[in-house]
Amino acid sequence: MNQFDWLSDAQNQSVLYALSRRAVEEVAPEELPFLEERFPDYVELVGQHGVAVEGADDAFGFAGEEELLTVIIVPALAATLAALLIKKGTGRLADLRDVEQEGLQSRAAEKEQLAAELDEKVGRRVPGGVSRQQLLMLLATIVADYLAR
Amino acid sequence: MNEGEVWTVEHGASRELSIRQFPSQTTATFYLILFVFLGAALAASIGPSPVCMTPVLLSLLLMPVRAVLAVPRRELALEDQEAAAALKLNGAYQRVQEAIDGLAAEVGFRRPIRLIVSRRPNEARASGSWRRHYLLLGAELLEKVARDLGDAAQRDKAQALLLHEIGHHLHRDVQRIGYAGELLKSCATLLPWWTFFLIGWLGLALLMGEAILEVDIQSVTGLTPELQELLAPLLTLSPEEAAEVRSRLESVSAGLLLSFLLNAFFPIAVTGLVLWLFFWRRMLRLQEFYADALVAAQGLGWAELGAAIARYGYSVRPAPPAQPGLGNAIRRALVGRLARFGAEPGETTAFIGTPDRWGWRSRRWLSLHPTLRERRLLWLEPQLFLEEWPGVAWATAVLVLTLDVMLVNPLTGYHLSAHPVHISTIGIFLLVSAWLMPMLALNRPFWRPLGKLLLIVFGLRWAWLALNVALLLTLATLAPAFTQELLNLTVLSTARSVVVPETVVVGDPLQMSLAILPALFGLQLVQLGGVLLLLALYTLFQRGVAQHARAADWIKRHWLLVVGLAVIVGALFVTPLSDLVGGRGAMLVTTRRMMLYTGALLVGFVVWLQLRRLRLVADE
Repeated sequence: MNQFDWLSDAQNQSVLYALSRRAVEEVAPEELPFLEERFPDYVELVGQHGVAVEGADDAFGFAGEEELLTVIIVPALAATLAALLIKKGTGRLADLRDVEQEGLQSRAAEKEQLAAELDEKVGRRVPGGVSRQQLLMLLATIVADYLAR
Repeated sequence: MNEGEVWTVEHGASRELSIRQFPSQTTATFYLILFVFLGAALAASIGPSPVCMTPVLLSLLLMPVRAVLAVPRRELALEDQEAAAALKLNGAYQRVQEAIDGLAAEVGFRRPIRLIVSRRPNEARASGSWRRHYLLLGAELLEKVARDLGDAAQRDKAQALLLHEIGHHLHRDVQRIGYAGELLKSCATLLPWWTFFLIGWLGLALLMGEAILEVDIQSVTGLTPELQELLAPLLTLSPEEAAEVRSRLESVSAGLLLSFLLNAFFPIAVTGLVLWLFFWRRMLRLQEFYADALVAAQGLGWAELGAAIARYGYSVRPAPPAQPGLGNAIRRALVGRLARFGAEPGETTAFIGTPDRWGWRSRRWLSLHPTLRERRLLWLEPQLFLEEWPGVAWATAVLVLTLDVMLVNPLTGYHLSAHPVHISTIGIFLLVSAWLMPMLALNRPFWRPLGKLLLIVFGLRWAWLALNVALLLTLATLAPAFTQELLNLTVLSTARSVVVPETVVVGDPLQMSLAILPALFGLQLVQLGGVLLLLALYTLFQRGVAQHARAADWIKRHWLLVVGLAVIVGALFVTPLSDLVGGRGAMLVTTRRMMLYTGALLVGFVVWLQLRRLRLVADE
């Protein structure tokens, strides 16, 4: 069994898409067209193999190479959800709603503060001015929110 | 908005605002680089010189032209003939070609753009030479575009891609930036080659010259009489000729010759490399915005362009298995072309970005495209791009300073030593006025940002100057003998002399350094005054441009004013003041200067007539 088998389910796909969209809207709205356009490719390919995104930074070309946050956000969310699904022994995201919400949220809030402190100390930033820690915390919060609904 | 109508500006009317209506920083940078580099090449060939500069000049002028002209042959040779035949058979090629022709006609590009099927499956790129225009699409991409053109839901995206590439042709990016790139690359590669070639060749001549003069061809054994007869006139000189050659060989200093060659070529080569690595790429990045603006001008939105970039700009495919080995690890780390979009099956952790804060930032300097974030921001708020002054300030400061440093070499210094601030004054005006024009047209407050901009430009220049002066004075105090040697070498190189003078040119280095300081500071003030005067006159003429000129004439009006004011202020303000500060007051009333003043006034009159004509057309 593949850890991404659950993505063959249309309802699971739409949940992943909705969560990814929320994160992308928050940190990289310019990548929304990328998410909309390329999400189906990701879902199609991720079950078979890892997915690669390549751009050509040619003179007088159409797009350059850059680190797209979407290619971090979608897999990170997918892997988080996959881990939760495996732990709960289910294939449907809807079945995850009965996990302990309070604990998840409070831990996310604690880690968010820790992330802010880390940012100040380390000063690491990913393109778009969002730090890695902030991004991870945002994703954790989005997943926690979803589960708490 | 029609291009022809007079545009009354309302701040915030960003949807109607197009950056294409204003002169671009790229154009200003291109003309400045072209003027300085070709001027340097031309200056090299005028006046006395220890070595014949004609071959160097010709190679520097012709090689970039040849490289640009060779582009069509190179692109056509790389065409995927098999894929092209297949795509022609199923009609996809014709559909895309027709779409290109239609869109090009719509935007007013009259020359044919030929579609080429690239061997790289996902390539989308404009290419060509002076009069040939190509649009390269990879076979897979071309098929996708052809399919999308027939699908109402996807057509806008396909058109956005094609319009963007047509934009590169319409704005002459392929020719201008292509030529600038080849020129800078040629400087960076050809000049070091010429330096080493001339050092080797002239060194050999100096070492072997005496021996060659002594050769008696009749005494060389093993040569046939016919060969001896052929070589004799080449090696046998008359006593007078031999004496002249001998005297020249004796007078030439190998050290001075080496110093001349290194001082002459290396500043230009290094500057060419630096500009190619950074400024040429910046020009490309800026022009991407203009290509996007063409898409906007055709009524498409960011949703279409953004989706088109996602759809055609990136390929999403199964990741190849990671190749082990140090070489591949280094390649991945340095190039970083591949972003994995997920985890391998069976892996429990997802791939989270790459830890390369510095890598990403340094790649941005070398990148040929703006980021998606920048493209979207410019699309939504074009006035932010036009008003953005820090980028213009730093680019102007660094570019003009770099060119200034380059011009301090024997090839140009020989001619420019009496007028060292002319080119930088005009360079600063050229770049800053391209930023000022939209501010004036948009009625935006510009005094404060202009002040800050000039503070950065002149602050950097004066800091650099102060550093050099401090270094010179320190050296002259702590190591006078070394500094004297250095200054003598510099003076002799600038005078293009390779003969050791009978008297020492620079006696006391500290005294000489102190003696030139007043003139040096005076020239900085002349330059500041020149730039301020140019900008004040420009502002005076351009204020309220939106009210009395057609939007279609804005760019023409800008360039007319820039050329006219640069000539007038350069000739009538900067030149006489430079003469006075440099202690050449007698030059002010020479026939040569009078001709210069008259010529400048004539240019001013022609520019005034042209501006008046543009205004009359607008009044109609």
